[in-house]
Amino acid sequence: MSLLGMRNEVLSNPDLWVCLICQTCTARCPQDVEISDLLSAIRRIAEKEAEAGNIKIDSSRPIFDKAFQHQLEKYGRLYDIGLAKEYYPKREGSFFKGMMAMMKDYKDFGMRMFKKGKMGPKAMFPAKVKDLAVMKKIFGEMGEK
Amino acid sequence: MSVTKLAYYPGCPSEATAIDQDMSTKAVFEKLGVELVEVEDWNCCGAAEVEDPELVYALNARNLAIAEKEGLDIVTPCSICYYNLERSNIALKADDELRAKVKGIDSSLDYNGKIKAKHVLDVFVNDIGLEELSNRMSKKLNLKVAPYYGCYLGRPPETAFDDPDDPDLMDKLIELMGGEIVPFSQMKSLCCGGPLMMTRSDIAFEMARKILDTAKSAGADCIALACPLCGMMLDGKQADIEKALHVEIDMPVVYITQLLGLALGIDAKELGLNKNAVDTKDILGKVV
Repeated sequence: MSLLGMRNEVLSNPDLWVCLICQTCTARCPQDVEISDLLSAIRRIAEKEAEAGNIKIDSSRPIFDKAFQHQLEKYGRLYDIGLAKEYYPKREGSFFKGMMAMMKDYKDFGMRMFKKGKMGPKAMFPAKVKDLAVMKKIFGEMGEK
Repeated sequence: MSVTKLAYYPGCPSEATAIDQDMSTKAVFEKLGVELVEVEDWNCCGAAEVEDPELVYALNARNLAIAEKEGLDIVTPCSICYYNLERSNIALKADDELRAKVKGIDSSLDYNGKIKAKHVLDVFVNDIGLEELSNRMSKKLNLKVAPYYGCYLGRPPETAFDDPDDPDLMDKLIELMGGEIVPFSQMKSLCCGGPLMMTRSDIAFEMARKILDTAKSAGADCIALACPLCGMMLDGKQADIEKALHVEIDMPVVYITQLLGLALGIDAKELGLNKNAVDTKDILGKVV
């Protein structure tokens, strides 16, 4: 479809956002097309088009991916709680609704992890890399504007 | 033994949801006499959420450069970290312009392409070798195991070190430990659903349920795996999946490093086997 120039049909296809990046398509393609990387590039174009108001994406995945990247930019490592605190309110459209949705998804899981010693007081705070300046530079120069 | 010292890249879940994988990896290498030097001040590899390849290369160039300064190959227990480290390693080695561009961001990203990036499973089976491992094993696992590989060990072809559709490195390792492999080949290289856990949990849960159910019907005592996201999905979230889909599964899920640790005679607690979400007591009773 991309080769046929069906730009809008491709960029607004909802299947883009349920891709698991599992690489099965790339591994199977008899023509050695790196389909997974291609879909990834199309998703990035779609996100830009959506930000410019040209298309609408019916998925919360762009919000999730952005929230994830913000953790890396700020701390250099993934901070699960920071990710959830950004993702859920943005997805639900309000802080209160976001917190309710987060509780629904993660109340039992959090307690389970806490009991097993996998989410102690240490996990409440971000594990930061020491050289945060370089993380800022990496995202500043390589990250998408 | 050919390998004596490696740079260790733990990955973000090592400090929280996959602390058991981190503990067992360290314990196993120590028992095998391989020194792990943690990559000083390592940063996240970008996981599956950073989709801009150049950003991935820059993030991983820093970790690769730190290991390279120590003169050590880098090893990780996480499949996604491995994929990002190795694809960055390949891209940076092949492209002088890319290396210069990345170095231009900061001098700490100056990577010269002199080291290898490896997944722990690759190191165990292909570098240390089954014969050496067998000589060091002191316990037998009387377990029926469903080996679950997920995505990035056998795919994509560029970085893979196992077969894309019928991977077997874990099978070999489990059989060496005395374990029996249950019929599970239709599931072993499917995706666990992890990447959709936060945005389409309906799809993710159903994918994980199929894997768990298949292992259960095949009579497995446990699932063995090698990725912290798969671990989070199949073990950490198993009770949530049971509740959401109204099913009962109760399938223990362990990291391959935990099983290997048991076979090497390491104490279960030291391997974090009290930290897996689904109880592992029944497994421990079958280690003799």
